[in-house]
Amino acid sequence: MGGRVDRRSGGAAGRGLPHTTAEPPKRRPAGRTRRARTVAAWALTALLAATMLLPFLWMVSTSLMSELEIYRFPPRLLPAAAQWDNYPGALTARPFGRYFVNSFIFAVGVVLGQLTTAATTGYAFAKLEFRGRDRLFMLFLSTMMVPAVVVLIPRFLLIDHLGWVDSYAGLISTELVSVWGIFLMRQYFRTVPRELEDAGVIDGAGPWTVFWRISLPLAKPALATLGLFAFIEAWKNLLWPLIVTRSMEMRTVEVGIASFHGLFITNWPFQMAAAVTAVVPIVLLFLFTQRYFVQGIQMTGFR
Amino acid sequence: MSQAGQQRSPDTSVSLVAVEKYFGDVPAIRSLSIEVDSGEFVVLVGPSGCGKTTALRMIAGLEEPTSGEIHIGGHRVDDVEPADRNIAMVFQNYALYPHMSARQNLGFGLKMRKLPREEIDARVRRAAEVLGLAQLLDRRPAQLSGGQRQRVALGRALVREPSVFLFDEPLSNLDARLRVEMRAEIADLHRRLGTTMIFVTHDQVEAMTLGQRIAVLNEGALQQYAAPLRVYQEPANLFVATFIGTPTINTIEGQLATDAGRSVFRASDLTLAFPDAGYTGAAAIGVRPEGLELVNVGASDADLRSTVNRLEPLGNELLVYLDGPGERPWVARVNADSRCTPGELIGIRLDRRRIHLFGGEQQKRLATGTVA
Amino acid sequence: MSVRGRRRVLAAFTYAALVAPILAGLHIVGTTVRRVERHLLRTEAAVAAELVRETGDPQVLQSLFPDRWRISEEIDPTVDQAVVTWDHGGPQARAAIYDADSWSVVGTLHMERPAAGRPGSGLYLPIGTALAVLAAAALLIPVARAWTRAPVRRWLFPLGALLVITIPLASAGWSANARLAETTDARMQVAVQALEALPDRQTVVARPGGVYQLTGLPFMVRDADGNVVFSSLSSAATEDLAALPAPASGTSYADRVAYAVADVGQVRLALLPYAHTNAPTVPLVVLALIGVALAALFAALADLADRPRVFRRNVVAWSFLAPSFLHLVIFTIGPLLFAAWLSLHRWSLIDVARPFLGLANYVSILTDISWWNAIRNTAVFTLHVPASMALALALALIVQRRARGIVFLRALFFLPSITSLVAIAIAWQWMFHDEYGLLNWSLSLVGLGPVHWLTSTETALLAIMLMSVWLVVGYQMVLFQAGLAAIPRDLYDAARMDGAGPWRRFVHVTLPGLRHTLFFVLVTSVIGSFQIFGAVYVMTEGGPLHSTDVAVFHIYEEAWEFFRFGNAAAMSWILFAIIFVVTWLQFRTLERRTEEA
Ligand SMILES: Nc1ncnc2c1ncn2[C@@H]1O[C@H](COP(=O)(O)OP(=O)(O)OP(=O)(O)O)[C@@H](O)[C@H]1O
Ligand SMILES: [Mg+2]
Repeated sequence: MGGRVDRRSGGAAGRGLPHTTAEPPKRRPAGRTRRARTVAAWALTALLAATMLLPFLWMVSTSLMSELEIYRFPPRLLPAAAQWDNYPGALTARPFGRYFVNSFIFAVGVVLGQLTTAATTGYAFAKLEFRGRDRLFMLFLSTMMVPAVVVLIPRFLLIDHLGWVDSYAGLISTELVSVWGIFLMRQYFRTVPRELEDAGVIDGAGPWTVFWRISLPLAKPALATLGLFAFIEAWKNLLWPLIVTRSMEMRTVEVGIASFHGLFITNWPFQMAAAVTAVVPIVLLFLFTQRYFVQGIQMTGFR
Repeated sequence: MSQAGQQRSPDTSVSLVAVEKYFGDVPAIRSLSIEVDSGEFVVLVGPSGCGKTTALRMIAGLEEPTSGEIHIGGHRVDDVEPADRNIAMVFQNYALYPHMSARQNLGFGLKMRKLPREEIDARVRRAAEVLGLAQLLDRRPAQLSGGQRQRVALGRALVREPSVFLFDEPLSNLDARLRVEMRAEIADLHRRLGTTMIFVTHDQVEAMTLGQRIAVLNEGALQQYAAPLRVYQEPANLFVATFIGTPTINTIEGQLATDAGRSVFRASDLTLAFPDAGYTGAAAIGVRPEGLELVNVGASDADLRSTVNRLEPLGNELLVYLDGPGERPWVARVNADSRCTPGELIGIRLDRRRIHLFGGEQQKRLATGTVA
Repeated sequence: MSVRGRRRVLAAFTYAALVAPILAGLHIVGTTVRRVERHLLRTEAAVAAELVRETGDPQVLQSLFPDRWRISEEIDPTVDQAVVTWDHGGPQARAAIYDADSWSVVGTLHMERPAAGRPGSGLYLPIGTALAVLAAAALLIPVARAWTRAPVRRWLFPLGALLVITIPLASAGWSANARLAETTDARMQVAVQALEALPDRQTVVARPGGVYQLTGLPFMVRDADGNVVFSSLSSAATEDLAALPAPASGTSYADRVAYAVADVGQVRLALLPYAHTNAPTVPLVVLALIGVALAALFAALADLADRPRVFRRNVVAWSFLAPSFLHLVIFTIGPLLFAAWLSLHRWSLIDVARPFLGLANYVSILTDISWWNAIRNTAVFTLHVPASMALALALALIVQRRARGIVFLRALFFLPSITSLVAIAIAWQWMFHDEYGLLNWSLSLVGLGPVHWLTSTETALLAIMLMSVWLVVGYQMVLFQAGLAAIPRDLYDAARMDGAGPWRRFVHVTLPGLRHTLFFVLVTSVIGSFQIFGAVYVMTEGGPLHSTDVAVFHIYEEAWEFFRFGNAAAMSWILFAIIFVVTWLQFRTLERRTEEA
């Protein structure tokens, strides 16, 4: 299994390296313009990187300014003295701790659900033979076309009917299946050689045992990718939590900071402190798991 | 066919009765009937894509026949799951579980059958000793060499103590020397265990050396099912004759006519008479390389003439590659001290007793040996 | 299990799939009718009790409810409002009778069902049930004989199943609807008669809530010119109802507004017909569909009974699939269809009347300027996709060249698209600030601006587009890099040999090699951008002056600000159709062309 991970991520994260070493060093036509172009490319890249980073930095900087300091022209790029109090101030103005707990429960629930359903269903579509398999798969895929907003109202009415509005059950239940995840897992399972499962069958393992003991352990990288995407998608989800939660106690971080934004519209440092707090966990998660993202994108060709 | 000594052991025979397999509309196996006796070593051989793997997978139960019956140990098993057929299979690419150590790989089947731990350990240890794997049990497949992986795969089948072993080209991924070694080991294993074994290969040397009987398949149909020597000496048809034997049998095409109670074969300046085959029309003869004798061009008893293309001295014998006499090049296997040079014009004499005549539907062998 | 056994199991399942929805459907219909009838009886008791209190003369009841009322002295403390109890053989209603001051209870009024003539518990339920059960059994016979024949499996059986299920359900629903309509009439009749039986109707009418207290119905009072002087209905409903012509025979149904009205002098009574509020159409249709689908599925699998291993494999596969499949049906396909159904109705969380409107929602939306404004804004917003793609492609070409630091850079570019959108939108809103924002300050450095980014109708949408480009460009870049890496080096070398410069190499090697990636990014980004919501919700709430009102935000407001779910559902279907067509067009024009290339 290790081999598989390495091969994929090698293609992704380390892509540039083989090229630089493989490129024949002799070929150096018009060295000076070439170097000039390289420098220009670097400069441009750096500039764009700065552009990408700027809003984040600005967010952090503003979150540490005093309320008076921000209303200055020209704006100060850095606070005169970091107002660390903004953080406790903003985060206690609303129950942000609760928001985080809710977002976390929501995201983890969605991740567990999607991992389970995507693994089993993807496996069925990749490896099991049954009548109407391809047509059913097309049906699954075609639902990816349906915009979320079309099913929003009926889903809400259904959840309302079940009495699940403003509960974790209401939040999570609609998100338990990801067709994209099913597609991803199917693609991955198709790369597992059939003989491995056949060997398991001959060894006396039933279909579920083969799935659980042989195929699933081999799909760990795909599961990691799917889990991460599911987590982040759930964390970022605004519309559904906005609609299905009512009380302050059930709000997620996204809904929470959005309403915080409405309430403290002029207190930018507070808002930025809240925003930074919302961004940091995801950024940390992302930095440690970056390769799985790229891997996921490459595995399915699109997101 | 079965030896007297094995009569006592339980029935582990395998038989296929008119088995067919279609993938969609594409036939992979056409009406295949084969009987494998208890304790017999049978080799399925044939060119790539002829359906060997498919046949084996149907015996294993990994694939269902479209029609026909499969019996193992005298019982019909079409509705029996692979796990309950008491068979073990060794796959072409080993199919070792990559995430398990060699020990776990060996023990997986036993664990699935809920054997007690000690029993599993004991059996795994025994199999590991037999195959010389004792030191490697804690490694994963990725940390093993090709030959070692092959042994683990073999061991995985061994520990199960099945009544039938199925091998799907188990040696094709090994280098030449290892292949010879493993071949001997498998033969040895069969001698010791006396279990029924069905071995798929497209390597005819393996087929000839391992099998008590070999079944030659082509395009999903059984061509011949007989002991190796018989297949070599009395091929059922032209396909078998060409497929079995290296270098390939020498053939030439011509016409067959009936004349005075004999079948007379004519091809350019060659005329040969065979016992009446009851067939006239396009036909071919085949002579194995050892059935050729090279003589002087001028020799009066030369049947055919050709030019020497190149020589392959093998030490004990000499292979002489010829440019003709027909469209296809021929080969002669002669004494190592025979003398000839490339480019030389040479006469060929055919060993009359060893000429095969093929003709008719599917180029069946009509006769062997000429008549006066 | 033997072949016979498996066949029996399958047949049993098929039968259950056929019969269960019939029984469940009939049960639903039956309980609905019973519930409504009980409601009518209770209403009659309530009205009667009120009439007695109002007039002080029990005999007025005799003409209204001949021989089915009785007044006893007993005072049952548990009976305050009218209640229905089930006594020997049938429902009976009781209501407390108050004295004229509505102060103390003086007795109890008992009311029975009319002996005959009123819609009773007909025989259709048991007979219909029996017939349906038999028909379902009959359907199994030919099926069991010809399990394997494809036409039977594909067409005849599902068709038969459809008939067997829908005929009893439809007829039950039909007759239930008729009976519910009759009950509605009767209910209205009771109210009308009670009002007419009143000797001094004027005083009751003049008293606030007097009519409602007596009849239990919403009403309006009109002056001699027909102007409404009082109404207990919402203003929209009042307007609708006042416009209805006077009913000829006491009651008039008006489908569009789903009320029955009756006039008693200046008083116009209104009643939501039970037929509209309570006929259980949706559950019946759903049940029928599920039943037919399941029965057809079981029947389609029936020939597998002869092939146990194939049969087992199908069962195993479904054990893997079932959760996802059910989820898909319940939470996606079902809601999709339900949204279509909603879109044909006036449906709101607060109004219980949900009349069928046909295509009226669609017509009004398609002639609604604000909707078209939202669509236009959405389309304009989508123009950021080509811009971001061009930028992303340029970035991918630049960044791919050098290896060191690429991991870090890629992470950086990827970051915006995965972090909290709300947080980012807030940050950008601050950067867009008219006076103290970073952007206007930068512009002022080069002597430009200030631009009223989010506060001017001209630039607000542009500002959001700008942010969106920033948001997605990194993610697109990663995709393009993956695509670029897949183009064989040889192609570039070959082009170089042919003397192609960088531009020609780009046009003739890079672009064709990247076409699938480009296509996928385009299609998915366009689909995504048609569904923009978060940024608008956080930054502008559609403003200023609707200049950033986009489709999803519009739908969101329609549903959760104005509670017009039917309208919102219709809008969402229109959006779906637009996205579908746009995607299809992209496939048509682009994918075909690349195929040819
Ligand atoms: N799952 C399948 N679907 C469709 N066709 C198949 C399938 N498996 C095998 N075939 C076809 O059936 C034929 C026989 O295949 P099989 O694998 O049995 O050949 P083989 O004799 O084992 O060949 P090789 O020596 O290359 O392993 C081939 O033509 C192959 O293309
Ligand atoms: Mg094979």
